[in-house]
Amino acid sequence: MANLVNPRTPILPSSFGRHQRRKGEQNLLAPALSPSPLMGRGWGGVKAALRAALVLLLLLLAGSFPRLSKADTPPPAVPASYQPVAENDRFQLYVDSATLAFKLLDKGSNYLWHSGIDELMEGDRLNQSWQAFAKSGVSIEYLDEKAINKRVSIANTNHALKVTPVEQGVSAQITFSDYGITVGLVLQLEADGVRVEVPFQSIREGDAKFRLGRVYVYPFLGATRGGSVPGYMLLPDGTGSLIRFADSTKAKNMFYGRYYGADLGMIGIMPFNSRVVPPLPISFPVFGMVHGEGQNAFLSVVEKGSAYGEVQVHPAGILTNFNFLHHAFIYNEAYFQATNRSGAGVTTVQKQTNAFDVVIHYRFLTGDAANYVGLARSYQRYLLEKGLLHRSDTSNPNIGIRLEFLGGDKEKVLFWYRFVPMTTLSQMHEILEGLQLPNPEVIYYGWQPLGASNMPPTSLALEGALGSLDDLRALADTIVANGGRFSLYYDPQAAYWEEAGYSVRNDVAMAITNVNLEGYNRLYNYYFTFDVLKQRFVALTADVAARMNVGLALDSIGWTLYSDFRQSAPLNREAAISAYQTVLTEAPLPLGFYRPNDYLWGLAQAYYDMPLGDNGYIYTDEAVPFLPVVLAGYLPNYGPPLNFSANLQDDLLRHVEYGIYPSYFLTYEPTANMLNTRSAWIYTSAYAQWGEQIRRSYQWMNALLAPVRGQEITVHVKLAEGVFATTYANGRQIVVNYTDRPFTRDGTTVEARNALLLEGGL
Amino acid sequence: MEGFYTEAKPHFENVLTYDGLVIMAYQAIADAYYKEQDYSNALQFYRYAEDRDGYSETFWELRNAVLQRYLGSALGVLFGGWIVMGVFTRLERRHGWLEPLRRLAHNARQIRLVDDLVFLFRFIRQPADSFYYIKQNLRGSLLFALLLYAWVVLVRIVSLYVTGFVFNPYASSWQIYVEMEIVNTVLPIVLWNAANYLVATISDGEGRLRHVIIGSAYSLFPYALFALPIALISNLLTRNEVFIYTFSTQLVLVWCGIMLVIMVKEIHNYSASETLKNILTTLFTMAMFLLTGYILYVLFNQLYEFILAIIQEVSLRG
Repeated sequence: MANLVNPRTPILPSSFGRHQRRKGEQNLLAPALSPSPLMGRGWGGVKAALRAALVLLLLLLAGSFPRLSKADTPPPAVPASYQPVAENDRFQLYVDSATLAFKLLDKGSNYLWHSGIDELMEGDRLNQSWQAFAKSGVSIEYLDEKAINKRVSIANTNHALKVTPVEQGVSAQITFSDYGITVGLVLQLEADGVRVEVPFQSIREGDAKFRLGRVYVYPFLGATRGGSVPGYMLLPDGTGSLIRFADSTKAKNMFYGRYYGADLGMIGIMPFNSRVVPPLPISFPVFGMVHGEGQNAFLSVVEKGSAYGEVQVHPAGILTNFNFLHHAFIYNEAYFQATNRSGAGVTTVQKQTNAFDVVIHYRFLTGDAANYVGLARSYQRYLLEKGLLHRSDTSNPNIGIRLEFLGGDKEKVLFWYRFVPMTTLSQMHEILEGLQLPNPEVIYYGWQPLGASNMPPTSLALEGALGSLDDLRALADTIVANGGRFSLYYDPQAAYWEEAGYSVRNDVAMAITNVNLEGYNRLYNYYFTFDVLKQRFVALTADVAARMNVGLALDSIGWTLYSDFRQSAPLNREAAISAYQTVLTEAPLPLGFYRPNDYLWGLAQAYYDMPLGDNGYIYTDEAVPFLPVVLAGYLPNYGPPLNFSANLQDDLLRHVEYGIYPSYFLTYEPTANMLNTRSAWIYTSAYAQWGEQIRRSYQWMNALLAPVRGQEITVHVKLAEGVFATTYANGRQIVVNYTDRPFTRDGTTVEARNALLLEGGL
Repeated sequence: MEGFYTEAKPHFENVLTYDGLVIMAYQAIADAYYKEQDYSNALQFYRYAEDRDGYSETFWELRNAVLQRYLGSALGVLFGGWIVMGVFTRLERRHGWLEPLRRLAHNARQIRLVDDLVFLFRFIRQPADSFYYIKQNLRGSLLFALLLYAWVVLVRIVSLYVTGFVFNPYASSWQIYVEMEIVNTVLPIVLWNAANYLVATISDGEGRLRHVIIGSAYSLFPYALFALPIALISNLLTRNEVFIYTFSTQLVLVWCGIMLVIMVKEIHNYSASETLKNILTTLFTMAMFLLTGYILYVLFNQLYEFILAIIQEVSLRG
């Protein structure tokens, strides 16, 4: 570090910064001031102080000249312990080589971002451990022999720190000497902000008694005190969710969420309760923070390591008076190994450390972009740069509508099963003729022999009672000719419970506790090992693609990510991501996904079951269309089937507000026919009951959304309580009024519980 | 019952649009159809609602309509048939038209199994004598006895499927757990035969195992012959005629019981008091068999658990 020059010192004495900060007060997070260098320097110090005062006076005078605009105001002070290490045309990066904390100066806005809290202010509620956590760039959690975990930070434990400069940043190696654990960190400045890397090869566990549990990086980046700054934290919950900065919160504890949901490989069996709607797992490893809407904001994206990552959000009022959120990465976990069937056992730490690299990007925004739409657009640009998002075909002048048909399911008779047909191919044809929709996205569920709850074959075979393969091909071709798309439903991960067609002994994934993974989606199922999954998927897709021109609608694989501890071929959760990407990229037919995680967006032709909001946790204040904004213009997204909607009109309005296309789940036969099959979860579906509703809602939505199809969302604002406006790149605006009263502004009225398309903005 | 059934129907249909699993709505719509005298739809909806009473009432209406319409002509056909039969029998007796068939039937009795089958019908009128024949190894065979047991199991299963909805213990056929039904039928048969033979050998019974097995099989003939027809007829009955159904099913079971008592008495050559004692002891032995089986199951399960736990602990900590 010694060779890194500090260009600031020769120009101005260090006390200048202090004063300037008070004046500018850009940084509302009160400053951790470096100890004054004037102390104890005798005459030299006094001279310096005089000089400083003089310069200051001059500067103050200069400040009163009108030509000095905001951008010209000198930058806020950076404490002396921080050394500048990198600079580009937008930012300047300063690093404290003792704690690895950084400060980032946004040169455009002169806003200084802090990676932590340097010094406490009165009223701060941080104990020693939290203080150290807030101050340090890196903290770890270790697990001792009894599998008890404890967190330590650079600032409160014995450590050896080696910092070396690298291109546009620093590389550091931190050894927590008491525990023999070493973690490497690379901090670099990049065009849009900062890149942080924790390479796996830098991680060492030198003491058998201590294992690395978690690594926390920059937990207090952008942290604010209570409600002292207007703004909010953006959480990746559902479509996106905000926690507004406030002094207190209704929540009783923090929001800790594992990216892509819990790892089934560690818990074995997915908790299931038929009376509870399970929360949506986090589907993108992203969070954001806004300091003053329209002023400053940052977005954090995990590029690598998200499979073992976790977002930890602390609203002020819980444990501390700070609002902060950060990523944590899990290297080892304790788990409970039962040793007999009555449940007795031992808690132990996993044998092998999870192997994965961590790469995080922090992207900083200012001005108009500093809000959740700006954050979403920044994330969209990131995805485009990485090739994780592509513009889809929007040649059809109408919006899409997803129609999912249940072919049928089986019912037990004697020792055998009887097929209960619900929608045959000719009945589907009849329904589509009757609906006359210009752009249907048709999915066929339960097409395989004996229907939905039977294992799908590894080569294309259709239940005979539904029609022939020729009928299927003809129907698919008709649908495509009329402007739609046709896909077969397929769940590549699921080995349906108690069904024939696979071997429980050899083919299904195992948890660390040596039990088979079990979970529930539409049916109760085991999960295939990756090898079997790939083999079955490749066989089926090759056969389907060779015989007809249809796509696949893939369930589960988009949002379920598990590690596999089967000894023959263990698979790490992070490795599973690239394994899935590879096998899905090579698929010879178009794929649509149900609630895909971020790593599959680039492979998807369509996104099904887009959530209509967040999980409604008590921590959060409001749901925002972060995800719809990211995907708008690129990946067409369809909501959950509206026949299961608890509040149809509100949900329709939400579709329009977020730019989501409608979905319905249909059968030709009355729903009651399948009450005794495993498909009874589809509790309403008959075309006779829903046909009219589908026609009406499609017409209404098509009129509103067709003019903005394929367009990016540029602005999303709340005009009044219950009234929202979404503006698209082509200038059109949709105003949605959820309230029971008409909404009028500038002579334009939006009827109660309705929406309106405008050529310009309101 | 008074009520605005028809007025309520669209509302309940609306309920079903939102949730097709609301049984109450099916019930209400069925009631409405019933009031509207749309019985075929009412029947379907009572079936969805699993309402046996409503189903039965509706079926009565439908059956009544059929009876009203066809009863006259049906009686005419029956009467005509009776006259034709009478005339035919008389002429046949004179000309011997069916003589070749009779001869064929006679020859068929040379086949052992056919003879065993014919022997079955003898039990209706002369049970005690018939058991004596078995004991003397004159009639009946082990093979036929086993076939008869298989038939009883089959009848048990099939009758569960074909019994009318009104009388069926299962509202829907998917609920029938066939494997369990088979075990529930086979297990008592096996236990009875084993226990009865064992008890008889230590209490001066004369019958051998072979006799017990064949005798018990023939004792079940009322069930073998009549259970299936009763199940089929139940499809035509309503709750009003529940007496016919329950009486006939109970009759069949009681008859089987009486046959078993006679069997024990004749095969082992017991007096009345010895018979009673033997049967009670047999039942007690059957219970003991079950208890022993259960205890062994529990013990071995414990042993298995214990070994499994040791293996797991060793592999984890070792």
